[in-house]
Amino acid sequence: METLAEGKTGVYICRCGGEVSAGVDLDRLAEFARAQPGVALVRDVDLLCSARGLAAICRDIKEAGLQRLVVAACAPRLHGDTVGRAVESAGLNRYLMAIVDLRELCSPGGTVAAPGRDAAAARAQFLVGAALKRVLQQQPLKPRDLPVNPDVLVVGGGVAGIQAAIDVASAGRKAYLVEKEACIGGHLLRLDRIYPTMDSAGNLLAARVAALEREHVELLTWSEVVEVGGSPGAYRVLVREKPRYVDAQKCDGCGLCVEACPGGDEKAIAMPSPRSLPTVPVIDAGRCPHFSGGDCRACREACPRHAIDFAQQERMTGLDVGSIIVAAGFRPFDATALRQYGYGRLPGVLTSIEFEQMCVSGLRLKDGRQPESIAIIHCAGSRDPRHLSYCSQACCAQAMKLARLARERSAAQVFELYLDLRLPGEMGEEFYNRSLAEGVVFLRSRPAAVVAPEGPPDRGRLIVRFEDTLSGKPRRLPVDMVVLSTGMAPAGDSLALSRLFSLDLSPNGFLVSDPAAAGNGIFVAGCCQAPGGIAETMERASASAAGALAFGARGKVKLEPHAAMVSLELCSGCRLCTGLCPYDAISFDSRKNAAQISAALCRGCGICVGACPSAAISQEQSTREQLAAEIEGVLA
Amino acid sequence: MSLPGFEPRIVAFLCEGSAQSAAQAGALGLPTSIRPVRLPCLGRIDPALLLQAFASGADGVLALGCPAGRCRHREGDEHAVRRLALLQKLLAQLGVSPERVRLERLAGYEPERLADAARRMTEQVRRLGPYA
Repeated sequence: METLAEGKTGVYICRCGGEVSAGVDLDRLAEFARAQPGVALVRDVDLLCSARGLAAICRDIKEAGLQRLVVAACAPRLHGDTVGRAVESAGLNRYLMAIVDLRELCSPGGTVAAPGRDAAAARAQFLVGAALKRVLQQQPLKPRDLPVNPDVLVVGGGVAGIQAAIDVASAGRKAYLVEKEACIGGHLLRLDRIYPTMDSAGNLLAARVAALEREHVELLTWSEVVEVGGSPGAYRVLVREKPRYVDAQKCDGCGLCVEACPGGDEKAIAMPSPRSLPTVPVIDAGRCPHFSGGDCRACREACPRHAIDFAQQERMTGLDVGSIIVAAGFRPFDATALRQYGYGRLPGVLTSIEFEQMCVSGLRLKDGRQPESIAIIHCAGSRDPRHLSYCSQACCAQAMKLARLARERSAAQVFELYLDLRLPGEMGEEFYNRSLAEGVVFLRSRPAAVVAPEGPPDRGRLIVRFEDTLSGKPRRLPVDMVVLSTGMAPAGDSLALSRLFSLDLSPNGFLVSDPAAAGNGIFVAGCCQAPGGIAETMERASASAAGALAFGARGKVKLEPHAAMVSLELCSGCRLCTGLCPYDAISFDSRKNAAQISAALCRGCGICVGACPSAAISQEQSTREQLAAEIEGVLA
Repeated sequence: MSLPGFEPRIVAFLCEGSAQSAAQAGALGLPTSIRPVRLPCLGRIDPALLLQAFASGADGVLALGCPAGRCRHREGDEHAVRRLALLQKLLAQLGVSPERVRLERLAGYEPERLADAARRMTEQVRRLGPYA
């Protein structure tokens, strides 16, 4: 179906393989479009993004001499680029095209009888009408090509960040790894073994650390990113390094300072894990008497290399990188929120990570006995709308691993109280079957409470009260120890990180890795993105590293033309805008007495456009004329 | 008191980072009274743009931006809040109810909040009657 009329705008309506046409009467929409002024041609296409659909547009541009296009299809982020490339191959500037999200905004979920169908049909009309008005105000534009710095910054030195940095560096690119703690390793430092192989976590870390050194990854520990400036492909990142009070250049990690510290169990100078990097101690200024007016210099006197420096100050370092991988990790769920399980109140109630560490240091009760029975409560705080509403994926596996560790290091009977066992993957079922064969008891339940009876016969023990949901019977289980298998919460600073790196947050507060951010060279990896096990986290980190490498390998980044621009005639030189720009893109030219905006630094938010009292700032793709036309159009 | 048969037309300025995604996820919940116009950030909004909507025949304006503290452009939402407050004063001086303008905050994954905001604003403007 097509109609030729006076005018040079072509309208394309995509049926999306029948998914849109089932819900909206596209014939009526086409009829409406045909009646609008300036429309030369209306065509409905079965699948616009297919080779056939794109060929139809290209042919029409050439044969019918179309000068502007309205494309009613899916959201621009899906196929905007596909259609844009085709349009340009036919010789029309893609910014002379307006896209209507017909599929998302006007297709009521497929069925003709769906509620909201009439509203959707009406909306399709006024959105297409608005696009037809708007497109007449659009101007040809050119994306800006900016050179890309191939160097990569990785934020977060847990297993994800380490893996990403190794991948980047082993591809021959410079990688910086920023970690806020005194050494890298993150949560891996606190683990003993790894599911499902039961390999040593320490060995995994040591191997990764060796690779990191071999590949010359530049480490910045005890450091945090405080500012991200510049533009995609050319970020200028400011990193603040806290004072260690130990000169890392001089220190050889001998540890004599730690020995010399008179702090007893609460030493003020501590060496990070020997398996990690760097092996340079840190003085806790809050604990060290030297910093509270005291005269202690024991560590300084003990150091043969004169590396102790009480006068050390925080240091700012600027890094120039092209892309950034955010691998900021997670925060273990705080089990004290689960009052019914008595964590922090009842001795013998531990979190999974505490239990794992105890398996290393010695599996003992408070009175020194080995536990004879251990209950592991799965989903402690997980899949619970009051706490973490989601499944953290890795904790069932971890709980199974803990049972095996407990069996290796004691004769204890282990009970797994699970809600649903989630052990996907090749090894999960085998691990489960082996646990069953080893005598681990599985009870399906979400326990109601853990209590410590005052009197005999169970005095000194812990009672887990639960309903066995397979038999439907309430039960009480006396044990010596209770382990809470807790999930992963978003890192405490995830909101700050989302703003620092212009990332979105998921409903649960995790950082969202989206194509728009990736297109700007900002990638997300590891558990700050979503909870997961170690193997999966490392895979996702490698995927992000591959993304950053590909971004760098292109050599150039195409910046969408959405910059704000100042009209020298209209600018009064009031400088109101200069302080408002979140990206420091606006400077003041005192010779011209006018603001000027760097198109490379501008991210197209339009804050300055809205603020300018003289209407002297205009923004590409959102000019006043375009917005006015669109407003008029939607109101028709 | 609302006029029988009066179906208001409300220009909804949608922040690309949040409300636009919510609209895409939950367009079914949007009544036809809502006339969406996408903005790169709600921080783009200014009184002139809102007056443009009224001049073009809108009965109300609904500005939809990110939850507090969640603007990807740092403070775009806060600029919008201040500029809307200014416009509301201006409207009152012109004898127009400031209730014709409203700002709501929601994340991209909250289409039901968008639907709720759209419904409440439609009811509010229906009570106020046509602008012109």
